Amino acid sequence: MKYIGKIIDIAREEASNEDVGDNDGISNSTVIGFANEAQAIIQMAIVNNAPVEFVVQKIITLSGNEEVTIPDRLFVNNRFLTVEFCSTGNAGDYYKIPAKTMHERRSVSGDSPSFYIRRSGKLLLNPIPSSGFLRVNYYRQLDDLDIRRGIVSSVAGTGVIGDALTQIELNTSGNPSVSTDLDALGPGDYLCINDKDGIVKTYNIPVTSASSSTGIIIVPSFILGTGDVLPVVGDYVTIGEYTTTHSKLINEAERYLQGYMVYKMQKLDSSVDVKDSLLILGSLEEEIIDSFGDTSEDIELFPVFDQELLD
Amino acid sequence: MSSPLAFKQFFETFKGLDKRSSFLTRNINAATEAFNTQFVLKRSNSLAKRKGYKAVSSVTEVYGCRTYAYLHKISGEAIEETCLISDTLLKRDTTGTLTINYSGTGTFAISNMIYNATEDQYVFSVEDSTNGTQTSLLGTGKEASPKTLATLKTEIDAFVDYTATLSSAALDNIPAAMLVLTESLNVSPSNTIEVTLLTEALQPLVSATGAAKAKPFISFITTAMDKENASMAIGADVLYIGTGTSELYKYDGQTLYRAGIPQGSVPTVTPTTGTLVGTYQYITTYEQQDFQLNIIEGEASILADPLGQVVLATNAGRVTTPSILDSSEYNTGVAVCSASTVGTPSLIIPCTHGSLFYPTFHVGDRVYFYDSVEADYVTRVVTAITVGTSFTVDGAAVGVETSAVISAGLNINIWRTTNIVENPGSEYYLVATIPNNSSALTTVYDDDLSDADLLKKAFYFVPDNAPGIPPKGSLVAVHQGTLIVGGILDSPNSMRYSDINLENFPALNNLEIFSGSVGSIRGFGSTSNYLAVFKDSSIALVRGDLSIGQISVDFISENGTGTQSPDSIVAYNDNLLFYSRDGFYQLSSQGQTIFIGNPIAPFFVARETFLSPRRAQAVVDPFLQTYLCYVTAETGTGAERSVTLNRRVFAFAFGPEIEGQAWFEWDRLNWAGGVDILTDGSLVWADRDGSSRTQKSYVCLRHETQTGQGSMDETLPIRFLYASQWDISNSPSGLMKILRLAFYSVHPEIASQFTLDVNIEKNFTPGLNHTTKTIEFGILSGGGGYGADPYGSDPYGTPRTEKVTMKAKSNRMHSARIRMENNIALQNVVLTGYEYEIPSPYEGGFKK
Repeated sequence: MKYIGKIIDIAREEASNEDVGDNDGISNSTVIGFANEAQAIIQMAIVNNAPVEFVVQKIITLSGNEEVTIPDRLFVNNRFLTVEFCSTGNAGDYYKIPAKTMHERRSVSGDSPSFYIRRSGKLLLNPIPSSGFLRVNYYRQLDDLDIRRGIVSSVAGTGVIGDALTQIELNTSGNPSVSTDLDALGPGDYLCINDKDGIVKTYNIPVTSASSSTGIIIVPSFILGTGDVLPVVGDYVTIGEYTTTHSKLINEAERYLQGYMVYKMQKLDSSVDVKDSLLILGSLEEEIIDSFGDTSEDIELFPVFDQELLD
Repeated sequence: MSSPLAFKQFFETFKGLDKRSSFLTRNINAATEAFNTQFVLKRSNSLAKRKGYKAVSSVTEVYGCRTYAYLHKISGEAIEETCLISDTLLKRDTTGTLTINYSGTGTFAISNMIYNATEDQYVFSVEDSTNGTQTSLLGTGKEASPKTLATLKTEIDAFVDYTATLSSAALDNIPAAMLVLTESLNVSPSNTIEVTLLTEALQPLVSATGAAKAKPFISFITTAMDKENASMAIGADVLYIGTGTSELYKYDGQTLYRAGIPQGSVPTVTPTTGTLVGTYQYITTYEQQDFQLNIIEGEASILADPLGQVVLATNAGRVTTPSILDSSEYNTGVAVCSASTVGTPSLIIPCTHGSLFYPTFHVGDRVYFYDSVEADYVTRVVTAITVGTSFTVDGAAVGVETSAVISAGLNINIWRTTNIVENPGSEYYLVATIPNNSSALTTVYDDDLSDADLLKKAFYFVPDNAPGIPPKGSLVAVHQGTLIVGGILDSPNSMRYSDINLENFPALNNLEIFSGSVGSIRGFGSTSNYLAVFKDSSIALVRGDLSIGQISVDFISENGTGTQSPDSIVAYNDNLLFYSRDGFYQLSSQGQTIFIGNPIAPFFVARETFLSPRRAQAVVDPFLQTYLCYVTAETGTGAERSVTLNRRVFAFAFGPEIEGQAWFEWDRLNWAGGVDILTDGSLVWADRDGSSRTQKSYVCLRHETQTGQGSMDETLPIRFLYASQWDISNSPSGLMKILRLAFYSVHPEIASQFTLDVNIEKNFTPGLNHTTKTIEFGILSGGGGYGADPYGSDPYGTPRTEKVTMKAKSNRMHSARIRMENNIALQNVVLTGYEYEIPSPYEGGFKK
């Protein structure tokens, strides 16, 4: 899918809302909000109709706690597909554990858990293993969309995984220019680093302060972790946790994002065109969902959940 | 939800300020702010930035400014002088020039004297196709040691292919930055830039010393500062000046001297060699022939006084008349010929007399003397003077006898009866008009005119009301061809008026304007229907014919409207406009007071803001049909009264139609020293800081161009601000939304490129911004031709945008006003109109 900034430009043109500044017109933050609304709507519709989409696997090392946090965006905060445990870490040793309810919770220790309980984006393992590994497959909420807020010109700190990142400097004469929205950032705010295709290289870098005039972002000694990629010159900065410049929806959803932004801008303008836009949106959504209705020409077999039955 | 869009359009419907109405009731076309705005043209309601100004000269404190215009009585030339009152009368002399010569062979050579924003000062430059641009930085002209014109001339001489010439050495020390603004002056091969020089009006010299007479307004200038400016009025082509503390003065285009003429002195007559036989009675009158050819004749000496009677027995009568001495304030310029001389034009008339200094008149004076060639008295113009030695006059050959007196028009009329023994009750006939010898106690004339010849002469008409001398007054006006004087210190309710001779004030020509209201006479206003006499809180109308005394006096306002501010009263098209203690009024030609200042009345509620209602200064700009009134604000109540930044000029565009009427508020201008408009529409004034006696007043000219250069107050940009009425759509409690706005600016020839900071403010809260954006009326890309900019500017001749649109933010609000501002140097603004679209109708009901 195209860069969200380009999609916004097209949507603004279609909605006759190209005039925008820091304090005039429909602001970019508002339109980006529309894009994220659209993305959330269409992801929800897809997940509800195509259970294999947006599934991500993560292996978590256990340390004797009952509660296990999923270090990612869990769709609607509780959509796990499978949870498996093994004590060795070998792929062949994982076995699936079933889900139970909070009413069945027994917080006792044991060698291996026999079930898990969902609790607000977290898992409770019972019995509680003292160690081991958890292989979790879950529906991941897509990264929020944001426009490119600046282009990296240098980073301070070694930038080596495990070392501290202390400062990111943006190119003040670059394209895009440094967003003045950075000036409002402070403790509690986060940035993400994207490459030119919207692949997030580093998630959720905390911010101490930032200046659009100097392009310097001060970071409170952020440790690059496993999975993070060192920001390099030419990478782009987005504002917010889990943000990206490109939607990971299917390409066919691009028209929906664009149409939704047009619809919402027309609605703000109380435009008479809003009714037509709403009709088009409805048909676009149907088309997208329908496209997941029959995704494979293969013969589909019955799923076997208990492998022992076949042994 | 979607809804049809509606447009609200404001196309040349600007109604100016309305500070009085609430946002609930104010007209939608009225403004809540209209700061430094004016209409572009008289009948075009496009708004523009008011014109800027530039100081062109400086002098010690000025207390009065008046344009004095007349046709020269010999050449017919139209003369216009700006007269300023300081310790004497100063004239703005614009004949000085800086000439720039180009000797190169380039295809063009252009000179500019303009404000340069990069340098933040005035810059003189020349540019030609061969040498490019050569510049000289001039500063602001107000530095402690400014660059002078002499220095600039030296620098220009050092430019390649250029030289400069100053028309007079008197210009050498004038700050170069005081040159008038000059854009794109073609100097190939040469051209001139005007230099303003202030020169003192001529006064006669004192023959005993050769020194100039005392400056007449010193006491006026140095007395208490809590006073109005000198009052000036023009009648019979003469400028009259009243200060209240000094005598009434006149400036006749050549000389400044005391107005009026004293009563004739009874002559002493003794027999001398001659032919007359009989008893004769003599009287005298003094008269002044002024530069405008008016003859002012005073009251005759006492009739039938024995001292003036003589019995002659084959004698001539030697008439010895006390002279008006040069110690007086009258026009006593004189010379006494030291050697008989007869000759052709340009005859040098010697007047060397030992310790006495002659002549005491000046080049240009019209002098009166006995011409032995004509055998009669003649009037000639002095063309040259050798100080203390001689002078020359124009015209045909003349002859001047030794000891002949030559006066600057101050003469003595000698009147005589025929032999009263034979003709009892004889009238007085004019024997001769002789020059007054102001350097001697008496002026002597031998009369040997026979009765037969005397009867051929004019006889003396004894006036019903003996002419008196003008009173001292701080208020002067001209009404129905008579001179009105008020503000008389020891008679504050008196209005004295002249007869048809403007300097004769018969004792009976006096009206006591008493009313039940407190206060003195504070001003006059003349229309064809009445003379309005203003007191602090009352107005009386004097109707009828003053010259014959058939008049009525009616008060139209008692304990109500009046004025303390004489210089705020301006007549235009038989209406009077003036500033009262609670705002501005119009007094119609029918004598009805109309409160035209209602929309801006709140300005005057806070009295401490405007402390000096006595010192307002007003003028009407006929080209804009706008009444401009400066209302000063001062700190201090003692000897120092500094003018503060709260001072304002309130501009009332009265327009031909009611739609054209609008009030605007202008800041920064300081017209404390007086303001007036020239016949070509140029506005000239003198500022006055007031903080100390040594503080300079600057004489300023309004820029009569609306280019970017013309939109500067010297080196400061003018802040243009227009804010609309609060648009409440259907209800102030409902919600509304503005979608898009469009701004229109025609007249690209007046304002080239400019920006507007547009703020949409919301919810009746100034400063609570809903949407802000800077829009630009810039140069159209790819354009060409002759649109926006004059030759010499960069870019040249490209058309500019005439419409700019913007999008508002999408939030709803209870009300909105559009605020447009420009405070950028070298940018004028023309706002022809604007419109915006709103969704309509909105759902009714109160919202929060």
